Amino acid sequence: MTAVVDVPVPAPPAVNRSRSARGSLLRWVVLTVCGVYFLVPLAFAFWFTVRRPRGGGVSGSAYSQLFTTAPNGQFGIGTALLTSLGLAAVTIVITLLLMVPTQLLLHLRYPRVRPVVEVLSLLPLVFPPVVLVVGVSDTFTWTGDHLTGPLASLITGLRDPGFPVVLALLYVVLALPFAYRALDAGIRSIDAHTLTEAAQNLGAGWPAVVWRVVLPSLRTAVVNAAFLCFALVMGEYTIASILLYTKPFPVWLVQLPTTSGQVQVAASVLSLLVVELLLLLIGALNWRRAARHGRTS
Amino acid sequence: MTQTLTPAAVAPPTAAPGASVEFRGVHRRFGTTAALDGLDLALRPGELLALLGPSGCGKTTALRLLAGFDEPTSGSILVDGREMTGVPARKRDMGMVFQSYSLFPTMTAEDNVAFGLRLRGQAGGRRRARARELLELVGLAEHVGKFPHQMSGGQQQRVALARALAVAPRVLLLDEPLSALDAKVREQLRDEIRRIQLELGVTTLFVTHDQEEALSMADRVGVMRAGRLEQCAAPAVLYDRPATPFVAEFVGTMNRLPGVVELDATVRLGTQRLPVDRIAAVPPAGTAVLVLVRPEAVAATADPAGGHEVAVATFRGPTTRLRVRAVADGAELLADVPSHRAADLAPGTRVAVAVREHEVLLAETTAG
Repeated sequence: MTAVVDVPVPAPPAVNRSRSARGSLLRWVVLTVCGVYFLVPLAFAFWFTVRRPRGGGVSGSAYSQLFTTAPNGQFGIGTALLTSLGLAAVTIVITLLLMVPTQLLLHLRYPRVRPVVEVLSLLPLVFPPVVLVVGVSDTFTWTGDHLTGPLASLITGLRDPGFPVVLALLYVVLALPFAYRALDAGIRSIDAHTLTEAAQNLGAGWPAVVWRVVLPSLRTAVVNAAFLCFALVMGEYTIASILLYTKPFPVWLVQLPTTSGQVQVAASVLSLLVVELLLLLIGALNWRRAARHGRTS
Repeated sequence: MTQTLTPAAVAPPTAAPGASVEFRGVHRRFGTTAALDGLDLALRPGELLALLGPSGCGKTTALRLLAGFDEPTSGSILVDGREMTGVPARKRDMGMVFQSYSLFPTMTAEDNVAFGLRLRGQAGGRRRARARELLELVGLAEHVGKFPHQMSGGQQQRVALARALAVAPRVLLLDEPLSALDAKVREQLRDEIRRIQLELGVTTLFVTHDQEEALSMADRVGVMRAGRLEQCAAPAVLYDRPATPFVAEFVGTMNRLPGVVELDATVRLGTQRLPVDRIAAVPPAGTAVLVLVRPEAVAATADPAGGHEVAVATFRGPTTRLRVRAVADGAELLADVPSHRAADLAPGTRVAVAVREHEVLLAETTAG
């Protein structure tokens, strides 16, 4: 056996250690400031929801009312949350199915087209969502008047108020700039080109290259893109509201009776906690896998 | 910490017998730029051939064409007599080691090495055994479960070498595999690559811009310039008898000295008349020419009446390189002297300089 002993790495000089300590301190300061910025309003909101307006003390009645309140007389918070979670899942799946192959093609096969697609991906930020929704609304009106048969049925199905898939399609457009950049950064950081050539050299065809080499290396970037889609869907109000869908959670939240401020704030606090918990859960799963499998982008 | 290299204790993995490789008039153009301009090159079975040249000379393009990552604009590439043009990279049975390691980051060292075997449908147990065997061959038996980010650059490149060898390649392609490593590891891995290549007898094309690497590892070295092969020969031949002025100057260090051609086709250098090796046509007597002389062919001895003065003395281990300056006109040349004789050749010392016979190359006629 060949003995392999690499040259020992010299201890970092004192200047580097001091710089590293300063960097660590700076990270903690930034983290603390951000934490205070986000958590203090949340803590006060929570305090507001449990504080008895008269007589003092605390009570969870705002939260119990939340589960018995149906602002539009049809469904409660559970249905609204599940609808939004479902829409988020569909949005994430469509976005990733669309964007991951596109990004791989742009990086590996058509790098010259990349700047053009990059500009196109910014368009959803240039045009406000209301422009998009007016266009969609007009299209629906036209198709309702002019289309019949399977195509008309398909469009009706997409607009089903029970689970409006059309909203997910619109959210995909809105998520495009964010998902594009998350995946782009991921692919840039792994040197996908060389990894692809290395895999091909070992006998891998394109499916094996993508499935076994590139996608596992892009796990963090894919999760980041999914994060962004999820956060966008859980907070999007304009499009759902203009298209008169009442089931998504943000619309449901706005429709809560304004007479009970505590219940409204309780709904906000609860939704934030649910979303944060889900994001943490996804993140934790990814971190565990990353720790087990090595660093990826 | 020092390290000791010992021959591999494991039986070398079975390798395909070395294949012959031939580039026939290969051209590769990128727009108006000719990366390869009619490359003709043949590798013998089991040979390690290094392609050496400056950046942009086409050596990496040649390697990529052989690997199947690119196609020639015209010409043929044959492996064991079979035309490779149009054969996709994944079907060429070549193992490649890249400059940037290129290990799959989510796989352990073992999984990286076993990747090619898995694609070839080899069963799990055999696959793992073979991967471990190869990792042992490159000295990483204790690192099978490590991920790339847990290994040093040298270790990663060893895994990459094991991965390339795992598929029993017909040709091993090395694309500047040592250039990202520090000097000590580079030297160590250089010896290992050569040892393993000799053990397995795999035909190897090694691309590098480092002449020391090329000269120390290769059976033959091909020096490239502007998409063409200037000379392909054994390292000693390349160094001692370069075929062109470019090769002479690119390989090793050369002094360019002004001389005058004499009637009997010798060259007068100062007061010396010296026979020359002709790597350029000898012009008529009386023509001013530039001649090339290696620093080790220049003798410098301390002499208070000498016409030169030591400007700089650089200790290089067994030899010391002197930069000496002519007192009359300030022209400089390099001379290598044994270090044990350099003690009395400190900067400022007057020296006499002479060029040894039969070590002078005629380069070119001086313009004008």
